[in-house]
Amino acid sequence: MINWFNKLGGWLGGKLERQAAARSLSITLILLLTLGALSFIITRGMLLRSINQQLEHEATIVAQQIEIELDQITNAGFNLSTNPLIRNALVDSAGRGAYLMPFLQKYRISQLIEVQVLLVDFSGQIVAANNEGVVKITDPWLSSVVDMNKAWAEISSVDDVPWLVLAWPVVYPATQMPEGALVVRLRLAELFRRNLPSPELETVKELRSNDQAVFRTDSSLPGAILAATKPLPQESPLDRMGLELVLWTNSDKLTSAMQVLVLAYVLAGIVAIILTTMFSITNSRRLVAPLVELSQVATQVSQSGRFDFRLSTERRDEVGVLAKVFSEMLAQLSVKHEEMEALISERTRRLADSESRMRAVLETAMDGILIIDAAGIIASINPAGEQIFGYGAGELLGQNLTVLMAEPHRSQHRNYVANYLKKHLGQMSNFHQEVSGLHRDGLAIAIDLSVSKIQLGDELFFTGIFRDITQRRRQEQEIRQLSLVAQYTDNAVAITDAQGRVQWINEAYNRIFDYPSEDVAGRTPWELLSGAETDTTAVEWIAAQLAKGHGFDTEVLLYARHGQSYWLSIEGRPIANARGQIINFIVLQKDITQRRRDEEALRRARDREVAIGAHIQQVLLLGAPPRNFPGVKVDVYSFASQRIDGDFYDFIKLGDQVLDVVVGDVMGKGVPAALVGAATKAHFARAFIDLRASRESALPEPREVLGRVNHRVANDLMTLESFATLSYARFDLGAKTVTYVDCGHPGILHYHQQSGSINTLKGENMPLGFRLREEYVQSSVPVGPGDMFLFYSDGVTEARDRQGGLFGEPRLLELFAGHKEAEPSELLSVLYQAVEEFTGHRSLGDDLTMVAIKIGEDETQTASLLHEEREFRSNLSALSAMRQFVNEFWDRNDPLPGEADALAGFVLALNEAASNVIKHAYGGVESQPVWISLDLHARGIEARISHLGAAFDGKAPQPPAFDGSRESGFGLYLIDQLVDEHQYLRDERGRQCVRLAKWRKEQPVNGTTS
Amino acid sequence: MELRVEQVQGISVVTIPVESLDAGNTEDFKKHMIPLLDQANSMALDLAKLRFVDSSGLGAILSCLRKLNAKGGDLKVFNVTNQVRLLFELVRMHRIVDILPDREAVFSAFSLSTS
Repeated sequence: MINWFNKLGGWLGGKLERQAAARSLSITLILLLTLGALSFIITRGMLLRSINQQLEHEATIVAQQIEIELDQITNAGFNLSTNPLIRNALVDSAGRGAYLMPFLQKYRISQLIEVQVLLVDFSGQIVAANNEGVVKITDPWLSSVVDMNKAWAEISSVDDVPWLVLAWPVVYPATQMPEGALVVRLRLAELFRRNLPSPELETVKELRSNDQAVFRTDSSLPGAILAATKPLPQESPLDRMGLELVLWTNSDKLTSAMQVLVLAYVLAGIVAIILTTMFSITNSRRLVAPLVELSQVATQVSQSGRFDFRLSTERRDEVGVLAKVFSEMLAQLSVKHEEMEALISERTRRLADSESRMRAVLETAMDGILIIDAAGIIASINPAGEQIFGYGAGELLGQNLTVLMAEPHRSQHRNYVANYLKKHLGQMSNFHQEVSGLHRDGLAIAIDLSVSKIQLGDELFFTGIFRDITQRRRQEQEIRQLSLVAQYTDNAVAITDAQGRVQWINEAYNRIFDYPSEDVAGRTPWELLSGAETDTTAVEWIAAQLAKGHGFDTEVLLYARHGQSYWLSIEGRPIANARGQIINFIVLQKDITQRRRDEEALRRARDREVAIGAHIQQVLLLGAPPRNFPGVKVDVYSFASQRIDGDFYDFIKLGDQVLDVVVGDVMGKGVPAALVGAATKAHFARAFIDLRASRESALPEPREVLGRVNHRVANDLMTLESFATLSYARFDLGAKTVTYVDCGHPGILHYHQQSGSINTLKGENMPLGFRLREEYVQSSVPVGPGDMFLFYSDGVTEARDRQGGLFGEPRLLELFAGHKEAEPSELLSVLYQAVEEFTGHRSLGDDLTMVAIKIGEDETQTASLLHEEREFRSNLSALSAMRQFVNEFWDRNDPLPGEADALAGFVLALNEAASNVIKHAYGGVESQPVWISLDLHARGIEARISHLGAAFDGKAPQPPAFDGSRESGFGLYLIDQLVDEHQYLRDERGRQCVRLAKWRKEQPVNGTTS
Repeated sequence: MELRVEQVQGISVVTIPVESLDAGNTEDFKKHMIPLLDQANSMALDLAKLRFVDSSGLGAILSCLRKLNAKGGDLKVFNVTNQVRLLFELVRMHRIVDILPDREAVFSAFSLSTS
């Protein structure tokens, strides 16, 4: 309530005004409420009284009417009971039926309401009635009426309807004794309904008997509040019933009247409140306005600090006096204040100047500056100081100095700083030392700190000036370590100027090169250390790099003072100054002599290994084909890849007419495969010996031989997880058959001249090494003169071109068919050239082995009658020994009888060819193998110069230029002039080979190539 | 290779002391011939011992001839064995270098050419 007034007051005016208004308003309201309540009570009472009177009036009218009616009925009833007709009828049981009923029906007891009239005898039997339906009266009062001769009245309920029952005794005139009763019955509802006046009030009528309500016109009357009671007539027989009439009315009327009244009061109250409020506000405003102004001015003075406010009040009362005094006081204060202001502003300006200068110094100082109090609490720190320790502005203020200290000081007691300062600055006024601080991110930083003591009045302060010297310390450390590295490393280190002239060298430099420092200084390292075998181009390159200001990195042979040579890796790096000018070079020289030696040794070892491997294969796996087996021309081509492979072949001569040929391949590579191949090969020879020994002279069948060989090598092969494929064919020229066993090897190609067909001879036997006991199946084909057989290893058909395509069997068959009539050597030459061309490079990935066998007609002309081979070294001084070998062979065998001069030409040709091998194939490298083989033929002599050097072939030889303008080619020209055949090929063992042949003059030679 | 040199009637007669002149010893031969060629104008090579000469040997002899020809001199050979003559003829060298039977023939040939 008060709040509400306050709000209202706030809207209306100042605090004082509000209080005055609120107080006058509350008094007015209390008065209004009291008056309203009193008026309400009085009005209500008057209203009640008026209603009551009306009810009383109405009750009187109703009571009178009912009374009249009841009087009429009781009189009529009594009269009827005394009527002689009725009296006689009681005993006139015979005649009464004729008159009594019509009499009763005609007799009107009441003009208004319907009444039952009954005549009953003493036993209750109804003698007559004015209407039918009632048979017998059983009510207990009957005997009372008859016996005691008294009238009776009662209210009884029949079927929940209240009836008024009146009874009079009927006296028989003769005896004057009651012999029956006259009963009158009527419905009370009927009685009220017929006797209601038109009501002004809505009422409920109630009949009471001896204070008991016996009937009500309306059972529900909510809110009934008023009642008026009237006594009803007391004549016989009603006298003993104590009948009363009560009228009830409800409060509706009163309530609506009161509502109007209350509304009127509320309206009047609101109007009164508004009027009162307005009045009181106006009044209080007028009263308190000067006081409000006074307070406002005082507030302004206190808030603004100005004194130039004046009060406008002209009143003469106490408030006016107060205002006047206040105005005068303000005027005086104003003057004093201005004087004071001027003084203060002057002093403030001076102080601010001084302070801002001081602040600028602190804020911009590069060094950290802090002030701590005697307890070690940071009172002030400048931005540089915060930055050094990694804190934000103001974060350190109020903290103990220990937060900036590294352990163990950081965890010290908070008085640690204070005690420390006291101890260290007890006598001195300042100290300076390097301490270890703690950066906010947890890193220790080196701090250069000087502390001074300041006494300000009673208080003691310390100022610290410090800077972060972590970086400087780290650099010093780094330089110390680096200089140690440079000084004591095993590598020679020199620092030169931009021109490469040495300025400083380390210990290792002295140790390795043994020059005194004064000899080294001012000269470039390579100038000082160059010697006989120093690569001058490398040194020139270094100088050129240096001139361009570039770094360099190379390996060069240099010499120490005492002549010892070193292989050195020289690495130079330019060092530029801040402006990018190169001022120094750091030259690192690392002794790599041992490494170079090791590399060289390793390379030589590898070369040797390859050479040994190739040699093993030549000797163990590949044998010379029979050159002088009559009736059969054999040629062999074998190329061993760099990795030693398991290809092998063998020829076994069994008498004059039987030649066994074995061509095989052990799965796998390397020395194990080669050795297993060699072992397999050896077991063939042994198998023959075993089988022949056990069987006297009979020739063992190929399948028997193979069975035995397999039995011997299978275990070894299985242990090595390897196996061998091979083709075994027996050429029996006597029987004119070839019997073969194929064990998983590529088939043998057979050209049968007689039929002109080409077949692949292939069996279905397992490779060697699959099972210990294997039964091999052999097949035979007939052969005739001119037939050609080709054995080949899978290195031929599985050769791949650069795109990975296979050489393949079809291609091989096509080439075979194209050269089926050629000599074996020519066929093989065509085939290996085709494979080489296909693969696109000379060193094939896999081994190639091919054996071509041609059945001849007359082999006496082409077969080798005598074969001799000798090994030489690739030295030019060996040429004479080679010539000697040919001379002797010639002397013994005379290959070209009658052509004495031919020897000189043949020897010269061989000399030139061998000379070319040494000079070109081996590139002048000495002590490499050169094999010379000589074959005596019926028609002449053939020489082969085999080697392991690079392939080369004679270009079309040109006649010598005698002006000396061209030396090369002279030899080739000579060779071409001197021999009948001159070829470059790979021999049967894969070696590069130069073939020379000289035939008899009188015998023309067919099919030679040159 | 010890070359024996005789100065007879202004002719340097050089005896080749080896049986063969091939790639194995041509360099040695050339080295020893250089001072002789510088001094001589007319030169004759005695090939009595020589049984074999190959293309490099022929080349060496050819270069000697060229050097002498360059300063107006000449080179002749004599006492040539059958084998060597055969080789000379094979390469048609006999058309460029005069092959004479003996020492006398050399002298007369030189005197003819100088007269």
